[in-house]
Amino acid sequence: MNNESEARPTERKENPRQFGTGLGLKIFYWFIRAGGQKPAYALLYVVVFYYLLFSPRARSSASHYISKRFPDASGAMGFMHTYRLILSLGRGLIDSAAVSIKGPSAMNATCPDKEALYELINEIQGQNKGDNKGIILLMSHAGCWQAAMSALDFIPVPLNMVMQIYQDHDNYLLLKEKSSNIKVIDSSGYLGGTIEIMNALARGEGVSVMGDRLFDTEKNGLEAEFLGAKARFPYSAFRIASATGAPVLVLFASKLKGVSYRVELSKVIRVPRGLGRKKEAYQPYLEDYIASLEQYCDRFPYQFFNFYNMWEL
Amino acid sequence: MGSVIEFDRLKEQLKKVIVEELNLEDVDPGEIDDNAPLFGEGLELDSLDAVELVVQLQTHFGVEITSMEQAKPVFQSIETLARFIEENQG
Repeated sequence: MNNESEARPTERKENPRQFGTGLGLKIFYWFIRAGGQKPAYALLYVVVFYYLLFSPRARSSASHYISKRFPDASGAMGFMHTYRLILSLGRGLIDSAAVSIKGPSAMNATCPDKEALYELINEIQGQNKGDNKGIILLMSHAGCWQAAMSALDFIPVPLNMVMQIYQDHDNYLLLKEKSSNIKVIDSSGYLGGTIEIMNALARGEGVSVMGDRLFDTEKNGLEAEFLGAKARFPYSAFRIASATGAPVLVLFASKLKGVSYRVELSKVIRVPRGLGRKKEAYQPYLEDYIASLEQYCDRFPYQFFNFYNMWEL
Repeated sequence: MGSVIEFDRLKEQLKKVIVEELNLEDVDPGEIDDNAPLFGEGLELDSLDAVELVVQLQTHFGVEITSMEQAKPVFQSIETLARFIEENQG
């Protein structure tokens, strides 16, 4: 949620997600159409190597996370970890592209916590009869969000994804085209989309927000220890939870073998009502989320795709 | 439409609710300018304060802000907010 209601960032940050543009993307699309994801994955090995070798900016943007996750790795080992991270990101992008080209069957997404999640949502909805509070799905830049959304299609209420449409336009178009149960709330709109978020929760709907990245214009950050050093995180999810009574469901998507993905419910964070505007009040809930994120980074070190320096305070 | 006195009373009540519920330290409700912007300059509320404000408007005044289009003109100042409450209170 941005502080300046209609501010726009002046420049885009370096982002390896943007490495495939123009002709390169067309070639990947052609491989996917011709033979599915496997030949595209094979091509990726060469492309990522070339990309990392000749793009110091790409290495630099990945280094923020790599240097914290693998503090002892330097030189060739550091390059290898970066290579595996970008390779993993590339595979996810290929899977996303395959879904948009070939349909949902191009990806196999499951949620082992489906029953628990379903029961929890029913319980929340039941408890809140006449006083809907909705649910907040706290996601991270991990795994693949298309997989997460696909695995969560059993959720019996509409889901609202909070995103910056002008920065994430491709994903916005994909969502508009592919899903009727998912709506988009533009966080770069008036008051950071908070009015729409509040109204969606009041209707008893789900609102999906990212817990690990402050938007370019956002100043509502809290500092907390992450992978051994202080980093800045948004706390808007917890403040909205406190104002509305909506529980925060921490979810992570991870890529398994082949084209399989799994979405897990890590924990449910319940923030007491009425904590107010002092951001320090939200520190314990943020740290609870960060503990889950660290566990995720431990289990899936090459699936955390936050390519900016969140440790720069 | 109520009398001028009632409307002034509503504005005072609104200022008090905002200062108390949003926990605005060092802000005296009596010193808030009726026409000063609520967000950005003026009272310097931010987007997350809007979350609290929406809840408090419902709790204390029984009015709902249902869309961004509606919020934009209403959230301009104490004056516009009070006008909205006056027109929409049950």
